[in-house]
Amino acid sequence: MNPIDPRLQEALDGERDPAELPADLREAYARLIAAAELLETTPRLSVADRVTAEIRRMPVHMLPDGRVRRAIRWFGRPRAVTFRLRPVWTLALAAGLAAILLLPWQQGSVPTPGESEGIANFVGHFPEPVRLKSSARSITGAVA
Amino acid sequence: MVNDDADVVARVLAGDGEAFGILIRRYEPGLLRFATRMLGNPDAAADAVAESLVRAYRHLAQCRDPSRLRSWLYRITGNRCRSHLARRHTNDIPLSEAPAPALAEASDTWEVLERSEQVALVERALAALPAEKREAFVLKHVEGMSYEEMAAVTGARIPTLKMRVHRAREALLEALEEVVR
Repeated sequence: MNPIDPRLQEALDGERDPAELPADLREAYARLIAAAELLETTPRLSVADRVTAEIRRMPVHMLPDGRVRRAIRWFGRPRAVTFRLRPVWTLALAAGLAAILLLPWQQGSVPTPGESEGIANFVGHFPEPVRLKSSARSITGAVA
Repeated sequence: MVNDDADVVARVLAGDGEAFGILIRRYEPGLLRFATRMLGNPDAAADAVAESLVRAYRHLAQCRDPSRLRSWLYRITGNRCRSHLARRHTNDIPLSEAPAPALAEASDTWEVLERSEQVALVERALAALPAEKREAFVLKHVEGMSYEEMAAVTGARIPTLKMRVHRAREALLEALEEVVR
Protein backbone atom coordinates (compact mmCIF):
# COMPACT_ATOMS: atom_id res chain seq x y z
CA MET A 1 0.00 0.00 0.00
CA ASN A 2 1.49 3.32 -1.10
CA PRO A 3 1.14 6.21 1.32
CA ILE A 4 -0.88 9.11 -0.05
CA ASP A 5 0.71 12.52 -0.32
CA PRO A 6 -0.10 14.47 2.90
CA ARG A 7 -1.46 17.37 0.80
CA LEU A 8 -4.08 15.03 -0.64
CA GLN A 9 -5.01 13.83 2.87
CA GLU A 10 -5.35 17.46 3.97
CA ALA A 11 -7.58 18.26 1.00
CA LEU A 12 -9.76 15.23 1.72
CA ASP A 13 -9.98 16.30 5.37
CA GLY A 14 -11.16 19.73 4.24
CA GLU A 15 -8.00 21.42 5.52
CA ARG A 16 -6.70 22.45 2.09
CA ASP A 17 -8.35 23.75 -1.06
CA PRO A 18 -8.28 20.91 -3.65
CA ALA A 19 -7.69 23.49 -6.39
CA GLU A 20 -4.21 24.05 -4.92
CA LEU A 21 -3.22 20.41 -5.54
CA PRO A 22 -0.99 19.42 -8.44
CA ALA A 23 -2.74 17.72 -11.38
CA ASP A 24 -1.93 14.12 -10.38
CA LEU A 25 -3.16 14.66 -6.82
CA ARG A 26 -6.27 16.44 -8.10
CA GLU A 27 -7.06 13.35 -10.16
CA ALA A 28 -6.63 11.07 -7.13
CA TYR A 29 -8.77 13.46 -5.11
CA ALA A 30 -11.53 13.34 -7.72
CA ARG A 31 -11.34 9.53 -7.84
CA LEU A 32 -11.82 9.15 -4.10
CA ILE A 33 -14.61 11.71 -3.96
CA ALA A 34 -16.37 9.96 -6.87
CA ALA A 35 -16.07 6.62 -5.04
CA ALA A 36 -17.53 8.13 -1.87
CA GLU A 37 -20.40 9.63 -3.89
CA LEU A 38 -21.17 6.22 -5.39
CA LEU A 39 -21.39 4.82 -1.87
CA GLU A 40 -23.93 7.47 -0.91
CA THR A 41 -26.58 5.52 -2.80
CA THR A 42 -29.19 4.59 -0.23
CA PRO A 43 -30.47 0.99 -0.45
CA ARG A 44 -34.13 0.61 -1.41
CA LEU A 45 -35.12 -0.72 1.96
CA SER A 46 -37.24 0.33 4.88
CA VAL A 47 -37.51 -1.11 8.34
CA ALA A 48 -39.94 1.53 9.62
CA ASP A 49 -43.02 -0.75 9.59
CA ARG A 50 -41.10 -3.58 11.23
CA VAL A 51 -39.72 -1.35 13.98
CA THR A 52 -43.08 0.33 14.60
CA ALA A 53 -44.85 -3.05 14.84
CA GLU A 54 -42.23 -4.34 17.27
CA ILE A 55 -42.49 -1.22 19.43
CA ARG A 56 -46.31 -1.53 19.57
CA ARG A 57 -46.02 -5.16 20.69
CA MET A 58 -43.58 -4.23 23.44
CA PRO A 59 -44.74 -4.93 27.03
CA VAL A 60 -45.35 -1.85 29.18
CA HIS A 61 -42.33 -2.45 31.42
CA MET A 62 -40.05 -2.28 28.36
CA LEU A 63 -41.26 1.13 27.24
CA PRO A 64 -38.85 4.04 27.50
CA ASP A 65 -39.33 6.31 30.47
CA GLY A 66 -37.78 9.17 32.39
CA ARG A 67 -35.61 8.31 35.39
CA VAL A 68 -38.13 9.40 38.02
CA ARG A 69 -41.00 7.44 36.50
CA ARG A 70 -38.74 4.41 36.10
CA ALA A 71 -37.69 4.67 39.75
CA ILE A 72 -41.32 4.96 40.89
CA ARG A 73 -42.24 1.92 38.83
CA TRP A 74 -39.25 0.01 40.19
CA PHE A 75 -40.36 0.65 43.76
CA GLY A 76 -43.97 -0.28 42.99
CA ARG A 77 -43.23 -3.60 41.29
CA PRO A 78 -43.05 -6.79 43.41
CA ARG A 79 -39.57 -8.25 43.55
CA ALA A 80 -38.28 -11.60 44.72
CA VAL A 81 -35.92 -11.28 47.66
CA THR A 82 -33.64 -14.26 48.08
CA PHE A 83 -31.55 -14.98 51.14
CA ARG A 84 -28.72 -17.44 50.95
CA LEU A 85 -27.80 -18.83 54.38
CA ARG A 86 -25.65 -21.74 55.42
CA PRO A 87 -27.69 -24.32 57.44
CA VAL A 88 -25.42 -23.81 60.43
CA TRP A 89 -26.21 -20.11 60.50
CA THR A 90 -29.90 -20.84 60.01
CA LEU A 91 -29.82 -23.11 63.11
CA ALA A 92 -27.94 -20.49 65.07
CA LEU A 93 -30.47 -17.85 64.05
CA ALA A 94 -33.37 -20.12 65.04
CA ALA A 95 -31.72 -20.86 68.41
CA GLY A 96 -31.18 -17.14 69.02
CA LEU A 97 -34.82 -16.34 68.23
CA ALA A 98 -36.01 -19.18 70.49
CA ALA A 99 -33.82 -17.87 73.31
CA ILE A 100 -35.24 -14.38 72.97
CA LEU A 101 -38.82 -15.64 72.98
CA LEU A 102 -38.60 -18.35 75.64
CA LEU A 103 -36.10 -17.19 78.27
CA PRO A 104 -37.53 -14.97 81.08
CA TRP A 105 -35.94 -11.55 80.73
CA GLN A 106 -35.98 -8.96 83.47
CA GLN A 107 -38.69 -6.43 82.65
CA GLY A 108 -36.89 -3.18 83.44
CA SER A 109 -35.61 -2.23 86.95
CA VAL A 110 -39.03 -2.28 88.73
CA PRO A 111 -40.02 -5.80 89.89
CA THR A 112 -43.55 -6.90 89.22
CA PRO A 113 -45.15 -7.79 92.61
CA GLY A 114 -46.98 -11.06 93.03
CA GLU A 115 -50.56 -11.40 94.24
CA SER A 116 -49.64 -11.37 97.94
CA GLU A 117 -46.78 -8.90 97.55
CA GLY A 118 -46.53 -5.12 97.45
CA ILE A 119 -44.04 -2.34 97.03
CA ALA A 120 -43.21 -0.07 99.94
CA ASN A 121 -41.88 3.43 99.39
CA PHE A 122 -39.58 4.93 102.03
CA VAL A 123 -39.23 8.70 102.29
CA GLY A 124 -36.37 10.29 104.17
CA HIS A 125 -36.40 13.93 105.44
CA PHE A 126 -33.16 15.83 106.07
CA PRO A 127 -33.67 19.09 107.98
CA GLU A 128 -30.13 20.30 107.18
CA PRO A 129 -28.38 19.97 103.82
CA VAL A 130 -26.05 16.98 103.82
CA ARG A 131 -22.62 17.71 102.41
CA LEU A 132 -20.97 14.82 100.63
CA LYS A 133 -17.25 14.48 101.14
CA SER A 134 -16.28 13.22 97.77
CA SER A 135 -18.30 15.31 95.36
CA ALA A 136 -19.22 18.34 97.53
CA ARG A 137 -22.76 18.12 96.19
CA SER A 138 -25.74 18.59 98.51
CA ILE A 139 -28.92 16.66 98.73
CA THR A 140 -31.77 18.98 99.50
CA GLY A 141 -34.72 17.07 98.28
CA ALA A 142 -36.39 13.92 99.34
CA VAL A 143 -35.03 10.55 98.34
CA ALA A 144 -37.65 8.12 97.31
CA MET B 1 -35.97 23.10 13.73
CA VAL B 2 -39.52 22.77 15.08
CA ASN B 3 -39.22 19.08 15.85
CA ASP B 4 -35.59 18.91 16.84
CA ASP B 5 -34.27 15.65 18.25
CA ALA B 6 -34.37 16.74 21.90
CA ASP B 7 -38.06 17.73 21.60
CA VAL B 8 -39.01 14.46 19.94
CA VAL B 9 -37.08 12.45 22.53
CA ALA B 10 -38.88 14.34 25.31
CA ARG B 11 -42.24 13.54 23.69
CA VAL B 12 -41.41 9.84 23.45
CA LEU B 13 -40.25 9.75 27.08
CA ALA B 14 -43.45 11.49 28.13
CA GLY B 15 -45.41 8.57 26.68
CA ASP B 16 -45.98 9.60 23.04
CA GLY B 17 -44.62 6.41 21.47
CA GLU B 18 -45.80 7.41 17.99
CA ALA B 19 -43.34 10.34 18.03
CA PHE B 20 -40.54 7.80 17.67
CA GLY B 21 -41.72 7.44 14.05
CA ILE B 22 -40.34 10.94 13.38
CA LEU B 23 -36.89 9.77 14.46
CA ILE B 24 -37.17 6.58 12.39
CA ARG B 25 -38.03 8.56 9.26
CA ARG B 26 -35.26 11.05 9.99
CA TYR B 27 -32.41 8.58 10.52
CA GLU B 28 -33.44 5.36 8.82
CA PRO B 29 -31.91 6.12 5.38
CA GLY B 30 -28.50 7.05 6.81
CA LEU B 31 -28.43 4.13 9.21
CA LEU B 32 -29.38 1.68 6.45
CA ARG B 33 -26.72 3.10 4.16
CA PHE B 34 -24.10 2.88 6.93
CA ALA B 35 -25.08 -0.68 7.89
CA THR B 36 -25.17 -1.82 4.26
CA ARG B 37 -21.66 -0.48 3.68
CA MET B 38 -20.48 -2.12 6.90
CA LEU B 39 -22.08 -5.52 6.31
CA GLY B 40 -22.09 -5.67 2.51
CA ASN B 41 -25.54 -7.23 2.57
CA PRO B 42 -28.82 -5.28 2.56
CA ASP B 43 -30.81 -7.96 4.41
CA ALA B 44 -28.28 -8.17 7.23
CA ALA B 45 -28.16 -4.36 7.26
CA ALA B 46 -31.97 -4.17 7.58
CA ASP B 47 -31.83 -6.62 10.50
CA ALA B 48 -29.06 -4.63 12.20
CA VAL B 49 -30.86 -1.31 11.77
CA ALA B 50 -34.23 -2.69 12.93
CA GLU B 51 -32.59 -4.20 16.03
CA SER B 52 -30.74 -0.93 16.66
CA LEU B 53 -33.87 1.21 16.42
CA VAL B 54 -35.84 -1.06 18.76
CA ARG B 55 -32.93 -1.02 21.19
CA ALA B 56 -32.69 2.75 20.90
CA TYR B 57 -36.41 3.06 21.68
CA ARG B 58 -36.13 0.86 24.77
CA HIS B 59 -33.10 2.70 26.10
CA LEU B 60 -34.02 6.20 24.95
CA ALA B 61 -33.98 7.51 28.53
CA GLN B 62 -30.29 6.58 28.68
CA CYS B 63 -29.42 8.91 25.80
CA ARG B 64 -27.49 11.47 27.85
CA ASP B 65 -27.60 14.23 25.28
CA PRO B 66 -30.68 14.00 23.02
CA SER B 67 -29.33 16.84 20.88
CA ARG B 68 -26.63 14.38 19.79
CA LEU B 69 -29.08 11.63 19.03
CA ARG B 70 -27.60 10.99 15.58
CA SER B 71 -24.22 9.99 17.05
CA TRP B 72 -25.96 7.80 19.62
CA LEU B 73 -28.01 5.98 16.96
CA TYR B 74 -24.97 5.45 14.74
CA ARG B 75 -23.08 4.12 17.75
CA ILE B 76 -25.80 1.56 18.49
CA THR B 77 -25.97 0.57 14.82
CA GLY B 78 -22.17 0.31 14.60
CA ASN B 79 -22.20 -2.04 17.60
CA ARG B 80 -24.94 -4.17 16.02
CA CYS B 81 -22.94 -4.35 12.79
CA ARG B 82 -19.86 -5.47 14.70
CA SER B 83 -21.94 -8.16 16.42
CA HIS B 84 -23.25 -9.35 13.05
CA LEU B 85 -19.74 -9.45 11.63
CA ALA B 86 -18.45 -11.38 14.65
CA ARG B 87 -21.28 -13.94 14.32
CA ARG B 88 -20.42 -14.69 10.71
CA HIS B 89 -18.90 -18.13 10.35
CA THR B 90 -15.51 -18.51 8.79
CA ASN B 91 -17.04 -20.56 5.98
CA ASP B 92 -19.38 -17.74 4.99
CA ILE B 93 -18.72 -15.90 1.77
CA PRO B 94 -16.13 -13.20 2.50
CA LEU B 95 -17.56 -9.70 2.39
CA SER B 96 -15.41 -8.75 -0.59
CA GLU B 97 -16.81 -11.68 -2.63
CA ALA B 98 -20.44 -11.32 -1.59
CA PRO B 99 -22.92 -10.32 -4.27
CA ALA B 100 -23.40 -6.58 -4.44
CA PRO B 101 -26.74 -5.20 -3.25
CA ALA B 102 -29.29 -5.01 -6.05
CA LEU B 103 -29.50 -1.30 -6.67
CA ALA B 104 -30.60 -1.49 -10.29
CA GLU B 105 -33.57 -3.15 -11.93
CA ALA B 106 -33.98 -4.68 -15.38
CA SER B 107 -35.95 -1.71 -16.63
CA ASP B 108 -33.22 0.76 -15.76
CA THR B 109 -31.29 2.61 -18.41
CA TRP B 110 -27.76 1.80 -19.52
CA GLU B 111 -26.36 4.70 -17.47
CA VAL B 112 -28.06 3.41 -14.36
CA LEU B 113 -26.75 -0.10 -14.97
CA GLU B 114 -23.27 1.24 -15.53
CA ARG B 115 -23.49 3.26 -12.35
CA SER B 116 -24.78 0.20 -10.53
CA GLU B 117 -21.76 -1.74 -11.73
CA GLN B 118 -19.46 1.03 -10.53
CA VAL B 119 -21.17 1.02 -7.14
CA ALA B 120 -20.67 -2.74 -6.92
CA LEU B 121 -16.98 -2.39 -7.73
CA VAL B 122 -16.46 0.36 -5.16
CA GLU B 123 -18.37 -1.68 -2.60
CA ARG B 124 -16.10 -4.65 -3.20
CA ALA B 125 -13.04 -2.45 -2.74
CA LEU B 126 -14.56 -1.08 0.47
CA ALA B 127 -15.48 -4.56 1.69
CA ALA B 128 -11.87 -5.67 1.32
CA LEU B 129 -10.87 -3.18 4.05
CA PRO B 130 -10.73 -4.23 7.70
CA ALA B 131 -13.98 -3.34 9.51
CA GLU B 132 -12.47 -0.48 11.54
CA LYS B 133 -11.05 1.27 8.47
CA ARG B 134 -14.24 0.63 6.52
CA GLU B 135 -16.29 2.17 9.32
CA ALA B 136 -13.99 5.19 9.55
CA PHE B 137 -14.11 5.80 5.78
CA VAL B 138 -17.90 5.44 5.58
CA LEU B 139 -18.55 7.74 8.54
CA LYS B 140 -16.18 10.37 7.18
CA HIS B 141 -16.86 10.32 3.46
CA VAL B 142 -20.29 8.75 3.04
CA GLU B 143 -22.08 10.02 6.15
CA GLY B 144 -20.10 13.28 6.14
CA MET B 145 -19.25 13.29 9.86
CA SER B 146 -16.59 15.40 11.52
CA TYR B 147 -13.81 13.61 13.38
CA GLU B 148 -15.39 14.77 16.67
CA GLU B 149 -18.70 13.15 15.77
CA MET B 150 -16.90 10.02 14.58
CA ALA B 151 -15.18 9.82 17.96
CA ALA B 152 -18.59 9.97 19.66
CA VAL B 153 -19.87 7.20 17.39
CA THR B 154 -16.92 4.83 17.58
CA GLY B 155 -15.45 5.63 20.99
CA ALA B 156 -12.01 5.87 19.33
CA ARG B 157 -9.67 8.83 19.71
CA ILE B 158 -9.46 11.43 16.93
CA PRO B 159 -5.81 10.72 15.97
CA THR B 160 -6.68 7.01 15.73
CA LEU B 161 -9.66 7.80 13.52
CA LYS B 162 -7.57 10.07 11.29
CA MET B 163 -5.05 7.28 10.87
CA ARG B 164 -7.80 4.78 9.99
CA VAL B 165 -9.33 7.15 7.42
CA HIS B 166 -5.91 7.85 5.87
CA ARG B 167 -5.10 4.13 5.60
CA ALA B 168 -8.56 3.41 4.17
CA ARG B 169 -8.07 6.11 1.50
CA GLU B 170 -4.70 4.67 0.54
CA ALA B 171 -6.10 1.15 0.22
CA LEU B 172 -9.17 2.30 -1.69
CA LEU B 173 -7.23 4.50 -4.05
CA GLU B 174 -4.99 1.61 -4.89
CA ALA B 175 -7.94 -0.73 -5.41
CA LEU B 176 -9.92 1.76 -7.45
CA GLU B 177 -7.21 2.96 -9.79
CA GLU B 178 -8.76 1.07 -12.67
CA VAL B 179 -12.37 1.33 -11.58
CA VAL B 180 -13.53 4.91 -11.12
CA ARG B 181 -12.55 7.38 -13.75
